Amino acid sequence: MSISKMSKYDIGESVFNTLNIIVMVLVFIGSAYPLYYCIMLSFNDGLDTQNGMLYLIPRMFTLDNYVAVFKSKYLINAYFVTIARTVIGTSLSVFLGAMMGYALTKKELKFRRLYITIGIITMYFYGGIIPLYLLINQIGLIDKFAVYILVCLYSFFNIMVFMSFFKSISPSLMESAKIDGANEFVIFMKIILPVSAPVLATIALFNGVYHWNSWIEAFLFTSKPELKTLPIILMEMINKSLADQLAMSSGKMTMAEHIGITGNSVRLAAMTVAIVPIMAIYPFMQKYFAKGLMLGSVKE
Amino acid sequence: MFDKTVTKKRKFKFDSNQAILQVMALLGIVWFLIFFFIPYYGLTLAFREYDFAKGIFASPWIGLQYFKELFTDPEIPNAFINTLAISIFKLLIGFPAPIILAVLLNELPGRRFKSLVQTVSYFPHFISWILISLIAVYWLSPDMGMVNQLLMSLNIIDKPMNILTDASSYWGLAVFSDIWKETGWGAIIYIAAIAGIDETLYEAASVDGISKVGKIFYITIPCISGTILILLLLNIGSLLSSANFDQAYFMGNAMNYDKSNILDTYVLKVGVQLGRFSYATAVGLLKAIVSLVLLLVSNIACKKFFGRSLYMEEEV
Repeated sequence: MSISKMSKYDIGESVFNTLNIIVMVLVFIGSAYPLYYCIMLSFNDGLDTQNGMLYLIPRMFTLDNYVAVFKSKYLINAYFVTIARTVIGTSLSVFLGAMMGYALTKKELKFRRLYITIGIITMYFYGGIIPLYLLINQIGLIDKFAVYILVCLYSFFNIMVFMSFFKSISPSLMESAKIDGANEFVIFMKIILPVSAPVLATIALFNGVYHWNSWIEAFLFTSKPELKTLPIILMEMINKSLADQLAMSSGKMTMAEHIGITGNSVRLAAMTVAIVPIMAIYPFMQKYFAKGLMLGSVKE
Repeated sequence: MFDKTVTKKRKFKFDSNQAILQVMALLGIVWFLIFFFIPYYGLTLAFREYDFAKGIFASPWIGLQYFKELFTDPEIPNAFINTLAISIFKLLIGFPAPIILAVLLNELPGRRFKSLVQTVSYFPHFISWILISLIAVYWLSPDMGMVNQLLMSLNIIDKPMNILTDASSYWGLAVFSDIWKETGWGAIIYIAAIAGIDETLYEAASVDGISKVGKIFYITIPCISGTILILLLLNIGSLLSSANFDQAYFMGNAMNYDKSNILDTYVLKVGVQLGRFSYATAVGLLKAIVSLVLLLVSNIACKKFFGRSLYMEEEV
């Protein structure tokens, strides 16, 4: 290989690397900054924000927007409903999904093919929200907290992720327990669950984020104010200027005494409150995530 | 499908273990029957007049009345075109985006920078469309949107653009906000596929004097083409859902209704807001039928290319 040829490649390569790094820095900024900007504004005085020219850090730092958010009983209640829904819904879904997935990996399970076929059909085809709405209505789940948990209790996609993970567990682990006389449920609880942390964490993350963000169940199936979830409150804040009311009631009602809380900045504070829990679990889940997702991707 | 010799050999014992396994599986099966299969039957409401007192199972049959209405309703062609157009643009522009991101991430020198960019890039996947519609206001609205402020101060435009309320910009808004939200997430699967490529291929290419860009086109892309094809088929199979109900509901508004009204949002409007359950079911059924056709077509293609069906990789 001649020297001139070598250097041509070196130049080409370094041009490519430089361009790539620039593009990736732009991807980084493009992914992070829109959200960062909104969170930053939530810590800035609302009236001051209207002057513009804010980019990186708050100019007039304040927590008043958050005080306004947390003064609202309405929102605090929604926060607790959403936490309850997420915790109960996620733990039940993960436990029951894993249990079903485990049973479906057992060749000796009678009607196994039929069960799997039923599950796969539900992945292919969805009946739509109107028949579901009428069903929920007919079985009396309207305005019940349980509807949040029941409607999305199982997902066959998640069950298939569980199945592919359980198949990779060495059978010898289970054999020895079987010789000791343990039944399948005991094996599932004592042997399978403890070694399945990556897949449990991944599915828990999927489920948890779904419960935290989902609005359709609350929108369709409930009308009681005490059952409102956080996404519904955020929806109302965006649509109906609920945020403006909160801002007004936390100021001293008159514009003159207005202490720099505007509907816009209260909205952003509420948004941040909704995003923080996801951010908080994100790094912990990362650890298991790659492993669990790879398993999912094989099936997908 | 059933291999007789295998079925004969497999003996099912009805002992306590079988009973335990049955309970573990049946809890879920009963749930799937109630929450999926009863709604499937509920689709027949498109041919019946829904009666609150009689419910899903006993409402009287009325024939094709609502299907006839479907073909004379002027909103239907519009909602159908919007659904199809948004889905197709998302497929054309949104589908290659994660592949490009994965390939470029793979070429980055330095593991820490790579994992930093990757981690940040898929965070938007976890943010709901409600919040994205709020973030969009701070970026795209005419009065406080950062984009408008920036473009005006650079004299690129002389008056602010109404991206969020102008009907003609909704399709573009839908496609690009979707790319922003989902590209990082979509790249994960390709990154995993690239990580599985045999290193010696790259070493051999280096010996042959193939450039970095050359390796992308001669090694990386061909090696992940199977993954790309499967995901393409999956995307085509679920094409109509990619118009995205949540996105259309929250990014859509009265001003851009003409372009943002998709079949799913129309079902919600007709069914829940107007209370016309049977007609809304007919609209939903129309979408379900088209989706099913697309799914069957991509499933046939999948069997042809890979000898397996889309969702099932192995013998169950």
